[in-house]
Amino acid sequence: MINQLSTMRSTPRMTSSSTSLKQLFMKKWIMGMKACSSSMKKSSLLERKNTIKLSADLAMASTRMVAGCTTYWRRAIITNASKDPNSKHLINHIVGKYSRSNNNYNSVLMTKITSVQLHCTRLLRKSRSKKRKNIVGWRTMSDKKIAASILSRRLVRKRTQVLKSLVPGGEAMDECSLMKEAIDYIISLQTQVDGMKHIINAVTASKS
Amino acid sequence: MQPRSREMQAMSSFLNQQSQQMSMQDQQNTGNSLMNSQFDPSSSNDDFLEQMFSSIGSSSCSWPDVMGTANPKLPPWDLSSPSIDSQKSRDLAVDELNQENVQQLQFDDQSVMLSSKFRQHQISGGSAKALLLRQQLSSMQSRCVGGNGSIADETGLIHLPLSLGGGNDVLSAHNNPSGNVSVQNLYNGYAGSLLGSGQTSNQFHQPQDFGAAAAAAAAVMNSSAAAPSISSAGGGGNPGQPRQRVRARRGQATDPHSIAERLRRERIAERMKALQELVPNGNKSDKASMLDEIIDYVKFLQLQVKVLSMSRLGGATGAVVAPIVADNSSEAAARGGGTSSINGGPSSSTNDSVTVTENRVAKLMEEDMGSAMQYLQGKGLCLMPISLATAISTATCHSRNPLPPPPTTNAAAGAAAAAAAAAAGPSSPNTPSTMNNLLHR
Repeated sequence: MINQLSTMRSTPRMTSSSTSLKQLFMKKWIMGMKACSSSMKKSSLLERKNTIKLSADLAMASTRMVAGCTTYWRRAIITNASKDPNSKHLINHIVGKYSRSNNNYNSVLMTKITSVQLHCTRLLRKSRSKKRKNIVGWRTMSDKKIAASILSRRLVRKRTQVLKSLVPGGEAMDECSLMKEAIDYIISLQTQVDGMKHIINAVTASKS
Repeated sequence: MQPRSREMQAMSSFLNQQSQQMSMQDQQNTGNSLMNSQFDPSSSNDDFLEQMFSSIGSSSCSWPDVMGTANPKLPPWDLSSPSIDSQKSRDLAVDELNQENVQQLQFDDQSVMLSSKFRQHQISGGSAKALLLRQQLSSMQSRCVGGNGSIADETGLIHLPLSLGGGNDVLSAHNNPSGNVSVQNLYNGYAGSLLGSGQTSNQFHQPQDFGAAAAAAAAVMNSSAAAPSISSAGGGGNPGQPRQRVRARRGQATDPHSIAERLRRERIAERMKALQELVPNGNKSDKASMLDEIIDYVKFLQLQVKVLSMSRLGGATGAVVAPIVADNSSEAAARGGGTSSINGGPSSSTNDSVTVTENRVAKLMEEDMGSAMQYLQGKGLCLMPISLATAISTATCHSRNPLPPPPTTNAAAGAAAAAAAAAAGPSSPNTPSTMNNLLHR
C-alpha cells in the first residue's frame, strides 16, 4: 500500500530532471551513511537518527550546488551543520570540494550583506509607507476597507515571519527572495522525501 | 478578501477583455502544429510556468506600446483581411513584429542580467527556474519591442543575450539564421501572453494551440485599439526617459519608487503563482491563506523527513516515539533561546498546545496503545500513518469535499503515530482501528 501511495504521489510531476535529481540525492545519501556506518553501531538510537537525518539534509543540500546558484538555504544548512564538530567528517564526505572554501567566504559575506540589506529595506519600507498614506486613493476608501487591508497586511507579515523561521537561512532575506527560496526548498524536500521512501521500501522489501 | 491594488484590478480587467476575445476567436481555430513545434516541449509543470510568467510579463505593458506604435506604421489586419485565416495572421504578426524590431529595440541591463542568470541555470541543469528566467527574458524583449523609439541594431542586440548562453541545448536550438530567431522568440512571448492571459490558474495542463493565439492576436489587436489608446495617453506622459522599462498606466505615479515597488510586487505575485502549483490545496486566492498553506506544507515535509529517518531503525514503540518528542522540545528550546524576539504570542501558544498533546500521547503510548487511542478519541483526533494522511489530503484537495478535515491535528497525531506504525511494521490492528475512527468521524 505504501508503494502505491508513493507512486501515486510522485507520478503526476515526474520529469527527467526530477528523477535524475532524486537519483543523485539517493546516491549521496547512501554514500554518506556508508561513510559513518562504522561509528553507527555503537551510538544510541537518537544519535543514529540524527546522523541519518543529517546525511539526508546534506545530500539534499549538495545536489545542484553549482557556483552560479543563487539560493541561500543550501549554504545555510551546510554552514549550520559545520558548526557542530561531530559532523565534519560527514560534511567533507558528502559535500566535497566546493564546500569548505566557498562556503566560509560566501556565508560570512552573505550574512554581512543581507543584514545591511535588511536594515535598508526596512528603512525604505517605513518611509514609503508614510508616503503612501498621503496619496489620494486612501481618502476614497471607506474605513472598513482600510481596516481590512491593515489586518490582512498584518496577517501576511506574521506568516512571512513564520516562513522565514522555517526555511533555513531565511531570517536575513527580503520577501521576494524568500519566496524563491521557499520554492526551491519545497521542491528539494519533496525529492528528498520521495528518495527516502524509495530506499526504505527497497530495504524493507529485501529484508522480509 | 484580497487586498487588490489598482494595477492588479486593471490587469485583471484587461485580461478578461482579452479572454473574451479569445473565446470568440476559438471558433475559427484551425489546428496549427507549426507554432507548437516552436513552443518548448516540456512537462506540464513547465508549461504552466511558462504561460503564467509570459502572461504576467508581457501583458502588463507590451500591449499599449505595440498598439500605440503599430498604428501609424502599418495597419496589417484591420481592413485588408476580413476572412483571415490563422496562417496569414501569423505571417502578418511576424512581419509586424519584424518591422517593430528593426526600429525599436533597446537592450538594457535587466536583460543582460536575466540572460546571464538563465545561462547559469541552464548550466546547472535546467529546471522550472530556468524556464522562468527564459520567459522573463522573452517578455523583457517583447517589452522592449514597443518600448521606445530609439533605433538600434536588432539582430546584434537580440543575439547578444542569446549568445551569452551559447553552448547549451535549448539555446543552440534557437541559434538559427539571423532574423528568424529573435522574431520567433518574440513571437513566442507575444503569443504566449495571449495564451496565458486566456487561462485561469486551474487549466495549466491543457495543451493549447498556437493557431488560436495567432488568430486571436489579430482580433485583439483590432478591437482593443480603444483601450490601448487610453492607456498610452497616460503612458505618453513620460516619453523622455531613454531607459524606461516599464510603461506606467493611466492615473498612476511614475516616480521610480512606485515603479520599483510595482516590479517587486509583480515578482512576488509570479512566485506565489508558482508556489500555488507546488503546494497541494493551493487554490487560495488570498495571499495570507496561501502563505498559511505553504507554511503547513513545509512543516509537513520536514516532519516527514524526520520520521522517515527514524523509521528504518526499528525498536520498541515507546523508544521510537520518545526521540521525536524529545527532539521537538529541544528544537523549541533552541529556537526560543536563539530568536526570542521574532516568535509572536499566538504562534508560540499554538505550538505549545500541540507539543503538550504530543507529549501526553507519547507517554500514554508507552504504557498502553489502547489508552493512547482513547485519549486521542476524546480530543477528536485519530492516529494514522503519514502516507495515508498524504493520500487523504491530496484526495480531499482534489474533490473539495464538504467535510473539513483538520490537517494540523492530523499531522500532529500522525507524527506521533507514524513512527509507531512505521517502525513496528505496517501493523494490521492499528490501521483498521484508525480507519474505523476516521469513518465514524
